[in-house]
Order: sequence, then C-alpha cells, then structure tokens
Amino acid sequence: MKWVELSVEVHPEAVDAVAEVFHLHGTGGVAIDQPIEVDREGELLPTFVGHPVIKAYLPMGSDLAAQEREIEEALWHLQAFDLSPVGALQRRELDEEDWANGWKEHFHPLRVGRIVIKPTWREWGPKPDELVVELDPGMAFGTGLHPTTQLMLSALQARVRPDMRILDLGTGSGILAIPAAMLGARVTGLDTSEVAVEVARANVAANGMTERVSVERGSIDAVAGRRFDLVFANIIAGVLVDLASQLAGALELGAELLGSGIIDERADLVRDAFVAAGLEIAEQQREGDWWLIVARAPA
Amino acid sequence: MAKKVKTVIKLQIPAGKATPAPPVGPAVAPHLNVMEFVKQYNERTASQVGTVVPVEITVYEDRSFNFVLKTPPAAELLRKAAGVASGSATPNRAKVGTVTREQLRDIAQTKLPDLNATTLEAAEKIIEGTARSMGITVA
Repeated sequence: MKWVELSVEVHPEAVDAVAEVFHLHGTGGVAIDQPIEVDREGELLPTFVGHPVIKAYLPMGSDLAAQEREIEEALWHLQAFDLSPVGALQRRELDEEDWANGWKEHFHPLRVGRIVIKPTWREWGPKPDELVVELDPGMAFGTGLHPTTQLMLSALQARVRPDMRILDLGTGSGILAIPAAMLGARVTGLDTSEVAVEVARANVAANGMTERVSVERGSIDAVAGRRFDLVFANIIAGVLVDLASQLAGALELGAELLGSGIIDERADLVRDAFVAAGLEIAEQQREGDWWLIVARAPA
Repeated sequence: MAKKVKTVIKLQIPAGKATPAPPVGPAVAPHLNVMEFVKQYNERTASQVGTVVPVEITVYEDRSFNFVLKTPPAAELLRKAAGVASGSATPNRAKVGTVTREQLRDIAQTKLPDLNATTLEAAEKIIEGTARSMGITVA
C-alpha cells in the first residue's frame, strides 16, 4: 500500500495547532520529530533543541490532491495567529515496504528453554534437543521480544504432551502454536486479524507443521462446542475478561488455560473473571509489568 | 548505570486504536517491532477510546523501550471546553465557539508539563494562540 507523507517544520508553540490541522483532515494522527540532546552518559537532556517537524500520512487515493490542498490552505490560515509553519509543506511518497522491514535488523534468535525462535533471516547452529522455530512475524504480533510471549513459551513447554488438543486464541505470528506442534500437539490457531492468519499460515508451512496446526480467522465462537486439553490466550486483559466464560467452556475437565498479555494494573480483573467463570487459579508468573495467569477447570 | 537513550519518538494517535499503519509504522518501525508497541499502547489507553492520547517513546541503545502517555492535545481540550465537535476551517473569519479565561487557565495548567513554557502565563499564551487558530474565541 502506498502513502503520502506530509511534513512541516514548526515553532514549538505551534505544534498543537498544526497537529490539529492534520487531525481535522483525517490523517489519523501525527508523528512529531523533536531533535533530542543526550549527555555523555547517554541520558536525555530536558531541553528543546531546534524546530519540531510534524509528519502526517494520507493513503494514496482519488481525492488526495484535494485533501493536500485543503491542508495547505488551513496551514496558511495559521499565519494570522503567528502560528504558521517555519518551512513549506514537504511531500514524499512511501511504500509500506519502506518501513515494514526496518525493525528486522534488531531481531535476533531467542532461546526460551528448549525453544529457539529464529528469525528466518538469521543463522543458528542448533544444539541437540533444541526446537528451532523459523519465524517471520511480518506485521503480526509475536516475535518473542515481548515479555508475555516469553512467559508463554516457558509455560507451554512444561505442559505440552504429544497428541494434546490445543487451542491458540490470538495466534498472531504462530509463535506459540508452532513450538506446541513441534512438541507433538495438534493445534487450532485462531486470530481475528487477517494479516495474522496469513502470517501464521506461512510460518506453519515454513516449519513443516501444516499437518499439526490449522489456522483460521475468527474468535472463540469459531470453536463453539469443542473442548481442548490446553488453551493459550496471549491477548490482552480486556479480551480475557470478556471471553472468560467461553474460554472456560472450551476446557476439558482438569485442563488448563494459559492467559497472558495481562498488564499489572488489570491482573486482578482477569483473576476475578477466571474465578467467576468457575476456574481455579493454578499458577501465576510475572515479568516486568506483565502477568501470565494459569487457570484450571475443575476435574 | 542508566541505559543510553538512542531516540525519542512522539506520536499523537487515537487511544486504544493504534495500528501498524502510519503514522505509527514509519515512526516506530525503524527502531522497534511495531506490534510490540501497538499492543502495549492500546492496552494502556483502552479506557480513553475516543480521544487522542499523545505518547512519548524512549528507545534505548539496547533496543528496549518504554513510553509515557501525555496529556491530550490542547486542541482537544479546547474543543471539549467550547463544546464543539471540530475547529473552524477558516479561523480568521468563522468562529465556532468560546472558552472562558478560567477554562483557558485550566487547560494551560493541564498542559504545562508538556509545553515549552516555564510559567502558567506563558502556557496560557500558547494555548490561547492554539484556540484562536481553531476559531475559538477567548472571552
């Protein structure tokens, strides 16, 4: 997908007025480039240096020229209030590809217990007993860099047994479904994001796990009436609370639900929702601000 | 020893609804995995859906990051105070609403920590300029 980036240099006092002009014209938010100064220790100095540059983006489309003209006019009106931009409105076209891959250079193999998450563009000499997951997360969630994913990777390898039936709700890049399948389980991955479904399927295929992992678009309703031996739900607290009773209903007798993506200040809500859904809190782990809560169905 | 700061990214985006699309993607992706940020931002701003919640992300040399949520943009606070849905397209001609001096001072007080101003008076002047640029009169 192609976009047009509109950027303009402004006085610090004019940041909000100019950002408002972009908001009014439907750019869906702005980025503000503010030059920074760090001292010799690398600490940020609390000073404003230079002029901020405000950047906004419009998708390439038929009414683009009109939108740009309106924005230019609205910026021009700001001069009546001494808030006009320092420079002219700059324009450049960019492609999603231009930024989508930028972060890849910082993504390295990650080992959690026996599981190694290996970006497809990195080398890794596997040691005996390691399970190497080839992963290209694309624009989907799940690189293993987030604490919640690491908590899940650690918890799942202690639990997964051959031929277990597992539900992975919010499968993202497939980062949990694939190692679970490598440990012998049969996994149903669900995600409401179309991007995630495509990415997860590609990763499942790249790891030769298509026989053991199926990925579909949808939420828990898509498996209504089915029961699983283990359920992964690495989502966010609000969703876990909303779906607590349905998640509980997807568990076999005595089976466990691994709920993660839970930020500290909302952990109590999730615990309460799990208990209200008839589950027992079996284990809890914390990494930084994030919790993994293991809830068990009555045997 | 404190971690070395690599860069600071500032965004004004809709609470609870961030996506990897612009402006988040082009600003964040060169430094971080976009989804790691998007997930945390949406989780922390879920209760403020419907408003713009600015965020300041500090990226360290080791690629770790943290972020702080800022007060809503002055324009948003002004719109609420004036009870208008949007600012004027031609603010020098068409006025859309009015805020009182007291409302202006409240907004300046709220925004003071995020503005390039050391006194409340200076902050008020900045907010007043923003108000006028939106076609909102200060009475």
